Amino acid sequence: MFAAGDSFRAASIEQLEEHGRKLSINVIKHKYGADSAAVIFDAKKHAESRKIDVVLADTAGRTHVNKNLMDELNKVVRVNKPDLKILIIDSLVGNDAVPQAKMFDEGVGVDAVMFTKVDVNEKGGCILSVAHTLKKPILFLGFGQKYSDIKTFKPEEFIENII
Amino acid sequence: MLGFGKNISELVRKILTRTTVDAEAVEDLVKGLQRILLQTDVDVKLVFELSENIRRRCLKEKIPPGLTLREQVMKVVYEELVKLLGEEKAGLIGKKRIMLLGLFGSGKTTTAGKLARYFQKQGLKPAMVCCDYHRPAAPEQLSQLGDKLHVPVHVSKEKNPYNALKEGLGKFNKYDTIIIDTAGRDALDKKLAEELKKMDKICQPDEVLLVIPADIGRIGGKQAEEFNNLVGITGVVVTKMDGTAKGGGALSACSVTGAKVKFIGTGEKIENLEVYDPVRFVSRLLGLGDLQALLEKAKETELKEEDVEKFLSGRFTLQDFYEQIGGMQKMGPLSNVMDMIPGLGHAIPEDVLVVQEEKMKKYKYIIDSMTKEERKDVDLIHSSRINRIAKGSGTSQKDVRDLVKQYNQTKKLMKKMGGVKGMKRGTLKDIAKKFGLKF
Repeated sequence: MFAAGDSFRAASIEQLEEHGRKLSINVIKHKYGADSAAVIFDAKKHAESRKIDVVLADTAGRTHVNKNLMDELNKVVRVNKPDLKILIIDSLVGNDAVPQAKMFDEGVGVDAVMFTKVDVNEKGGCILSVAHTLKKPILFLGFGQKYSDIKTFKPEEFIENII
Repeated sequence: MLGFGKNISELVRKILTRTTVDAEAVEDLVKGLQRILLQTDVDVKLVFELSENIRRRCLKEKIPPGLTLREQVMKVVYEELVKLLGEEKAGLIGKKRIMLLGLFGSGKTTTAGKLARYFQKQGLKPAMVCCDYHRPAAPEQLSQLGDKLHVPVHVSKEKNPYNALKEGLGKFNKYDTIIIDTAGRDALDKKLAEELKKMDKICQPDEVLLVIPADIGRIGGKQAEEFNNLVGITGVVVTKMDGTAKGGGALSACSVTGAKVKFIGTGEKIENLEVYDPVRFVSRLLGLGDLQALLEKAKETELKEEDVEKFLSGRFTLQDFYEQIGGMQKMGPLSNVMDMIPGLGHAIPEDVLVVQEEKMKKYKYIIDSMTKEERKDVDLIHSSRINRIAKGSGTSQKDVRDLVKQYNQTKKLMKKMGGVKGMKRGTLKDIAKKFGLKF
């Protein structure tokens, strides 16, 4: 099940709904401007009563230095106590990936990392620096526009690629 | 490029306040600059060029009469940085067809909305065309932005970018500006590259803007080059400037393509777009301030010039504070505003300025519940009045106390700032004259 926790960006809910439609996954949503924590809480309750295995909660993109938005994210975590908090990082990001990862980790705690767009940046040096800074597992790599364009991160493969 | 201000300001201040400025100081400055620029993903070649120029002009060439080495260093650093960042300020007024392109997730659609708002504020009539039918809900996103701004958006029913473009250009022919939002793409992907070329041919844009996030790494240069080969880029919009990223990768993108930065995105709200003016930016960076931008911003938010003066002088009452809460919110976080004030850039601890938006709302209610006298003289407010105000405004006594505290703090800060400004004004003008700047 999806939870439309991004209630800020225009059409974010429609975007998630379209994914839901294509993949036959239910989306729990509120209106725009709604409290992100509440949306996700509803999704969690709903999933529990329907015996759904996984709730994927989408949240609004934010900069790690915006205190108000980081507080909001903290509230989401406090209210919902997620089992896994995944930080999504664009693999095109340069040196800034390190402060980004660090501040998200310090702010709300990151359990695992996922990198996107590795097809555009096949070297992905920031993967190395983030892995080193956070010491958190890297779950998946996104490498394209299709739903199947995702693979488990294999350290050996990655190292071979950069050497 | 745009965000390494703090480090560079500190470096320049540290070195130029030495008792003697000599060749060694210049060397330290150059080394420091190199380190900062390289850390921020600026291309190595560019950094090398800059440092060579500074060395040559400060140490080898004869210093113009009337200038000390200290002033010459300041002047050279200033001019070289301006050169690095692109010299002229470039607006977009008078351009009719503006096409936005870039990698996935760089903020094109949001920028389209922000640009539309920018043109609106200039008194022009913009329209938007959606040419992104790859990403789910991209048309909805643009439509929702358009609805909010009352800007018409054309979306093709058959979800074809070429038709959308043709129809949109016809439909909006009478509008002042047509902003064309395209799908995000990897410039090296052949299919998507072809699509872009074809769209460019149909559109014949007056302006092709590459949207690039501030945190992009070295890959920015390569992608920009590729985009430039495909369609020819006339300008760059750097987004996500409100993070810790400094935009060095974006700068490399500019130098590769020869295109200049035209706008920077500084936040998630529709107003958070600034025309990028390198001259002013560098002045801000070197602590020369940017009063011009401050006043311009104030004007946009319908604050009067005298309000800003009042605000800066610390002579403002709770009533003024109240009136300005609305305006200030539109002006953006106080810390952004502070950056524009000469000699103050980074002198204020960040946390003093962070007032949560929710709190701002509460403050408004609280001030609403005060009497006229209380608004004029905060010192009147003691326990029984606090109790009454809290009840009247539906807040807690702590909130009322917080407001009083915040007000007093801000007032104190402003007073201090006024002092800085007054003191710096003389020197500022002097410096400005030497730099041939108008303040």
